[in-house]
Amino acid sequence: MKDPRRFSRIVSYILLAPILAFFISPIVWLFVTPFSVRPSLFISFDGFTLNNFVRVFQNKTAINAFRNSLIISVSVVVLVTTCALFAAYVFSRHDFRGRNVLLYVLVLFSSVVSGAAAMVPIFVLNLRLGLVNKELGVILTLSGGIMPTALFILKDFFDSIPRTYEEAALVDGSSPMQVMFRIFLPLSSKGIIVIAMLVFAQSWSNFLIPFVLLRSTSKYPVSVAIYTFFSEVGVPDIGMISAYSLLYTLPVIFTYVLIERKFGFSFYGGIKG
Amino acid sequence: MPALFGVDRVRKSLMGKKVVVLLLIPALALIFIFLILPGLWVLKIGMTNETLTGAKARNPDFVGFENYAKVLSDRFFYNALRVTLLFVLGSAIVGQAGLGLSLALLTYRKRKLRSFVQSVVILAWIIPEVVVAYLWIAFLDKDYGTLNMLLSVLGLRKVNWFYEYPLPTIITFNIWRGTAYSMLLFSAALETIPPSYLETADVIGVSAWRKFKDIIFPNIKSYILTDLILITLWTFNVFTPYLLTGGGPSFRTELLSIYIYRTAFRYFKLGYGASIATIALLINFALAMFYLSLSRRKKA
Amino acid sequence: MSWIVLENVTKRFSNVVAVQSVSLQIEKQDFFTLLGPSGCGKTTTLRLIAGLEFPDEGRIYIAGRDVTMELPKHRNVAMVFQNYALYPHMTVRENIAYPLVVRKVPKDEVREKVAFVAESLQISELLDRYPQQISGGQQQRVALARAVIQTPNVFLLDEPLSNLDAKLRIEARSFLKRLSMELGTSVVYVTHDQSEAMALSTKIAVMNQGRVLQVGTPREIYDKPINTFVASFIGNPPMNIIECYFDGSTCVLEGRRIDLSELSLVAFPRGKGFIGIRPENVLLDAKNGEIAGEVYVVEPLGFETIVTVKINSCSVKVLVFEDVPYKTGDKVFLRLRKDKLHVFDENGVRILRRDEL
Repeated sequence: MKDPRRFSRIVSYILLAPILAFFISPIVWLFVTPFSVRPSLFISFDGFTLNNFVRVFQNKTAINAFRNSLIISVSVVVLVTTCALFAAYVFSRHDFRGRNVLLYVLVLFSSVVSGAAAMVPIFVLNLRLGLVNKELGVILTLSGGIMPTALFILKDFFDSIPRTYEEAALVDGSSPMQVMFRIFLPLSSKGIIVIAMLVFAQSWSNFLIPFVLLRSTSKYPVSVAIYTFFSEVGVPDIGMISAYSLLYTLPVIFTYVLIERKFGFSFYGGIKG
Repeated sequence: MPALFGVDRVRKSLMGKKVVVLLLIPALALIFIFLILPGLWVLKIGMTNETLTGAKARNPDFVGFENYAKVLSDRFFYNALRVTLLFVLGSAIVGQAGLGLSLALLTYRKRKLRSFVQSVVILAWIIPEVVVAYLWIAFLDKDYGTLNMLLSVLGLRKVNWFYEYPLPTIITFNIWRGTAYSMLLFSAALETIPPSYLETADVIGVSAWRKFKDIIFPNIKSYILTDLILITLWTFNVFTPYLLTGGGPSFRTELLSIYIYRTAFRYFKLGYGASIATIALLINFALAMFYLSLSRRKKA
Repeated sequence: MSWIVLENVTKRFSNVVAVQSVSLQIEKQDFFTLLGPSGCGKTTTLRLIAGLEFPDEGRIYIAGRDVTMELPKHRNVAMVFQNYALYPHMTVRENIAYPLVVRKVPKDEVREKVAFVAESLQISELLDRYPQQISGGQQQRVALARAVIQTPNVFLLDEPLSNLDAKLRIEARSFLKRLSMELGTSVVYVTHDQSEAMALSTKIAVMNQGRVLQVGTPREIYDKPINTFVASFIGNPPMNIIECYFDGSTCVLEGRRIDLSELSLVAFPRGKGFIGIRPENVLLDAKNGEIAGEVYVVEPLGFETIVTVKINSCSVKVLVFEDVPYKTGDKVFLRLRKDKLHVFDENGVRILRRDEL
């Protein structure tokens, strides 16, 4: 009998190969087609070119959508990060009755109120507030949805920072506000940056909320724009769409790689049980 | 020691009350307005016959539970429910959990291999859903998709996947999409088993199947539960299949989320759509409560 | 009024009472140590003085003011934490300057004071480094500098020497004592190490389970412990506490009778009681003595030797300042120096001598 460990390893490889092929196949297309001279729906490569990308940059809707995505995502990041940061600081450092209950209720709501079902009342809400077809509506809605998770993760992270530094600062003569801004925030900057990055990835990728709330093509972020490109009647420009998709995807991949590398956060994708 | 009037002795931290409230309000306000309020309000909207256009847009009537009664006798609703149930069962419970566990087991204690496999699988998870939808549309295209090209090279007939096998196709798609989470969770779960347990079993000469049944499974039971409930909730609400099939052909892949979308945003029947949505949210809530009660019982 | 006063202070955490009705008076020139085992409430008491916790009952006064519910910044106290709590994102200079910076002291004044304090504590060359880059002993001096620069009402030190290795600890201890003498500010010091307490303090408060058992000068605590707990906590090796039976003024131990009438105690215990005698006050004799026993182990420590002698009911430690001719298993006699012997009642409370009244 061969070395059992080697045997098990061979078995693993045999079983894993098709599974990996299964996972990789649709993805390979994304990285090959944009650079192909004659892009097609199957994975083919017959000459390197950057032409497809040129056509992306010539497409006004596409570029506009990039701008919209950026505006929306950055706004959500700023809004969620600051609000969640303050609230998480309180949740972490201030013990009030029902604190844990409140947190769990919030996270519960954010997992229950999700998907298309949630979009119905959210749409009506935006309607009443006059925010339909406005970027602000998308920004606020996205922020409200992401906030509980951001709060939960941030609070957890804040809990792990020892209080001695804040206590020393208090005794040194700082007011609680000075403690938070001069001492606590610099110490917790790593975690805050990670949350900001996760929030960015989530809002950048989001499709449903802008899809439901926005009507004008000029306001579409990239997610909705791509959908209109490939679902429209007519012959889609495969090269352009694939290049556009690649450009759209890269920031997300980049963000997660950065988080993994620099901060060694075994990420839960920003979602915790 | 006599009580001192007007002196607040119960100080829960070193921040004043004013400061605490100020810091909490922005986050809580946003959450309340854009998450909690809609979650509760949807019930009431479901009791009106509001539409986005037409007569009932300006002056919706209050119709009580009429909509809800309609839902319960709506064959599209039951179709959507059935499709969703099959979808969740197939892609989440059997698919993602099963595949995730298998991958975790196959890469157990093989650090470099696991890293590589995880990277591939995670890629499927983090690529934005619109892109992923298009990747699959391209991959499965009936004439030029990679899979069909492969089949024809092997001498097999090309298949119009979204048309001939719609539900299995989106189930497969969703397995592909979401396995990463289960794999990560189960890998972490396996890490919690002291290696000595399994090494002892090796010394005794236990077979792989028994190792799993007697040692591994009992130790990761709680993780399995957590995983199942979470991915059930997520899969129940997922909307991406809409980008692939639009709910067709002939509503054969119309998930509840897609049905709600069709009712509220294609036919603009906001009131009726809200009543279906309320029911869907209640199902969500029931699932979440089920999870909480189970996990609390574990902790007790 | 004393410089720092705690009046019947009680502090609870959930259902645990950390500090129970503690009253203390600390004078301006005191080096006041809170001494006790882990969990006795000494650190909590220190934090109550600092203002990091607020008492559930009682009042706290500093420099004549009632500061019971005031934030630390209004109390003008300086604290050195056990792990120094040097802000890792600031340089040594910025750390030391911090208390002045938050009080909006003008920049020139800050620069001057930092230079002066750094010079006095011999850390001038470290000013531009970060806390992670300097050694433990240096970190401690930076923490001290940060405390000193404030000219506070009182220095609060929470086990500042416990993170240093043994040799450094002895040096740092003398440095601390000298520093406090030169500054002339009150110090409240927390430690579980009784030799530190003895070496540094003008007054010691021995605590256990949230209560203050005894307050006194080191000498008082050492020579006149209020009960067996205090008696056995102070001194290294600790005082020998031996249970015995009292019949009038005679102590019956191991079948032998020891006449203690010469001690002129206020009273004698009736029946069960304890005698306590420090190891240095027990003499070994090969031929005769009050108690007979067998040598259990001999530990030579260079300057002194500790001999543990087993008698029927327990072991007695004897401290001798020379080599001993005994080895394990030898039969010896113990002679007790009666003038240094303490008697405790059945509850462990020390019985006073007539001249102590």
